[in-house]
Amino acid sequence: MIIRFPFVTALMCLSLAVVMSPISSASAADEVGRVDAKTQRDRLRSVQRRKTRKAGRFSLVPSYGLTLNDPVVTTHTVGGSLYYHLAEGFSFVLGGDHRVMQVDSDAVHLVRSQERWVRGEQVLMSSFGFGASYTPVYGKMALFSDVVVHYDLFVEGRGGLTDVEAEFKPTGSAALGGRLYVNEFLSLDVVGRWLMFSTEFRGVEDIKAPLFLQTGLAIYFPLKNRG
Amino acid sequence: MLFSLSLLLLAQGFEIDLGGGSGASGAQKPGVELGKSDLDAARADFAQGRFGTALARASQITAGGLTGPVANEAAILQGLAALRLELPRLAVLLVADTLSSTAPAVRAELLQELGPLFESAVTAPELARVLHGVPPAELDPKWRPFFGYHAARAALAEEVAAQEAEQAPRERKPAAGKEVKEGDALALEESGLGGAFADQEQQEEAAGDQESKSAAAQAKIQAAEAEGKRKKKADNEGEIPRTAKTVAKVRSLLGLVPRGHEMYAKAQLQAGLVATLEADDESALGHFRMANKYGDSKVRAVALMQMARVHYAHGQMRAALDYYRKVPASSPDWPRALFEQAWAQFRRGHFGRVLGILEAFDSPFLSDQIIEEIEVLKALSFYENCRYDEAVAAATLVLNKRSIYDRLSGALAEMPKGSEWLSQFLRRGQLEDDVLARRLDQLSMQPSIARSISIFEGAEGEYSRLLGAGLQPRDLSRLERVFKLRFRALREQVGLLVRGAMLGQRVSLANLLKSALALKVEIEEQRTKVLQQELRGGTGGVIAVPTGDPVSVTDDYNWWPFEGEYWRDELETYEVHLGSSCR
Repeated sequence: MIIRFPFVTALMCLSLAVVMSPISSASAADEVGRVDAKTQRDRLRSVQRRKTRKAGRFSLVPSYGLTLNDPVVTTHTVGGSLYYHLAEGFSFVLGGDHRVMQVDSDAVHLVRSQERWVRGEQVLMSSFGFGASYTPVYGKMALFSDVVVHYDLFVEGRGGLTDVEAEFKPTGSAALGGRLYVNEFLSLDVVGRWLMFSTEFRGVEDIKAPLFLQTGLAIYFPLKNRG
Repeated sequence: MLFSLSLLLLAQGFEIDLGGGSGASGAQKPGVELGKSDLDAARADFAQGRFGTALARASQITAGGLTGPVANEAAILQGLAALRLELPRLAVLLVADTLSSTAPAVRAELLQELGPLFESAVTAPELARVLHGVPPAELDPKWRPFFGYHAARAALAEEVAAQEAEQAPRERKPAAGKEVKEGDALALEESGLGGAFADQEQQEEAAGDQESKSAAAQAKIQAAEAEGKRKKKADNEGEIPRTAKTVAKVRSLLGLVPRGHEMYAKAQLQAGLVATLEADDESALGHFRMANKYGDSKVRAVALMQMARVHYAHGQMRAALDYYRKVPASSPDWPRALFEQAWAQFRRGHFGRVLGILEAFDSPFLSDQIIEEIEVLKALSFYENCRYDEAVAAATLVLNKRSIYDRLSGALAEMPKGSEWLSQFLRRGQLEDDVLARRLDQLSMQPSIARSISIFEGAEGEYSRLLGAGLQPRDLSRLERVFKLRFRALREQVGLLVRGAMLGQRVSLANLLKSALALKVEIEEQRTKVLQQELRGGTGGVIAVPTGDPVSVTDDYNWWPFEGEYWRDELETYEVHLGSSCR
């Protein structure tokens, strides 16, 4: 499998590194007035139109998720997100998830006293929020040199509420995700999402930060690419 | 347009002519009832299910050179016996000369049984040729559309071949600015490359200088006038031009294919070609659209190519490019579509795209493609950007193909017979001569050649089966007499197709060499002017200057730097940012 990043992204990262670097200003100053012979050479590049063009389109992502960072209880959720893609790399999102199942690990059954605590703790029922998503990385990979899959990686932040046994707690969430584009109206999304909200159990305040792994199939509307 | 038409017909293929259309059943000798008893015996064998023996007996009658009703009946019996023995290709081969001259009542049964051969893409074109002269009404209604389509295609192929022969010399590929003349194919063939190079007038014409352009234009006007006079004379004398006759015939044959039939899309393709023959591009586009709508992926690809070519011919490059881009990469026509895209981009003045597209032909994905004009187009693109060194280098690469030309010429002189070429073709994998092996390999990808070879090999295979079917020695020797002659002729015909294709390559290579030489001369002249300008301290105009960084792309595009690795999905999207140019 071969993976490649676009030059723009690499350039962006490089620029960021240069800007952040303390010696960058000196280096830039050295370049001033210098004729770079490289700019005169012929350069071959591939200019490709994106397979799935998102700008100006909506996408709806029904998803399934489960918690990864709780060794005692695994919570399964179903949910959905609605994105409006303002540009190829930026979108607004509205979404939420609802608990459908909770599975105790074997450890809970082994230690009966622990089970009481686990059973007694407040349970996350659902959460929803509104936020924005930014896509800094776009790439593609070749499988067996024949099938080329385009993908992107995005970061997302949301603010919203979480229903903890009928009590709504203010919630923030951060997510890192990837999309594998299937065609002009479908992509397979995989997201790691941290929820952060406060709970109170037997008088003790606590910050909960469950990490969910969510997968979903995004459908883009309108179904055809624009332009 | 004629060139496009020829390309399409080449791509679609035309098949070997088994002689059914010629009506050449030999000189009609006075009818004698010789062989009547043999025919009766053969009939009796056939009736008793001894098809091998019946075939051998009937073969004895036709092998003796007998003609007339008895011989025709014997041929029909041969065909029927071969069909019963499940030897369809041999059946077609056996009846090829006589079917059209046989009485309808005699051939009716055979026609009934031959019908299913229309279902095979290999046997159908061959059968359609053999049925030349047989009224469609005699065929089962089920097979008439197949007959109509295949017979129309054969007639069209013949017409295009005839027109090409008439119209040489011709201009193959129009280009803005500097035109690449394909020149006088026949003269080159006769005189050889040396003679062509010695012809100063031709060199000047290929160089595209103003004087020679006006001379060429004058010649065209004269040719058009002569054609007009010829047509007028023909009209006055009430003579119907050959093309009009062919068009009428092809249209009537295509009329046998109803809408909704499986051959409908292909028939629309042929109808489109007929329209282009009549220079009715509007109708042609309509037919190609229908073919694109109703056809399978292969037909769609061809229809898209044709629509692109129609727009290209009208100078509508954007529309042409839209259609070229729709040809799927999985289609065998795709490399050609890609190359033609490069020409369209050239005519738009997008030289970076031209060079980018041509770069794709260096990739392993397209390395088996032999498109000779690539380097010429490259040279022209560099030349247009005042990049004289690169232009000369590209033109020199073309001139280096002289050794290939010499090898092809040598091989064609050494092997005048078709059978020799067929033998070379069949063992191309073992040839030590790389030039011939590669060229023959390339030919094997041409549908017309592949189909004809398949017909030949299929017939040979069937003959082997027949010989191994446990026939009596006497029957075997009878069959051998018949088939020895038939196969010799068939081998020669198929081989001549291969030789013809190689000859075509040689002529095209000669024209290319001539163009490259002329181009090189022109570039060198221009370079001298540039040097003079530079000595005078002048800049700009015909001197390349740095162009700076490439422009950025819009949000919905990505650009990937080329790092020595070709990606299949990028082949169509390469573009070269010229670091220096005079544009």
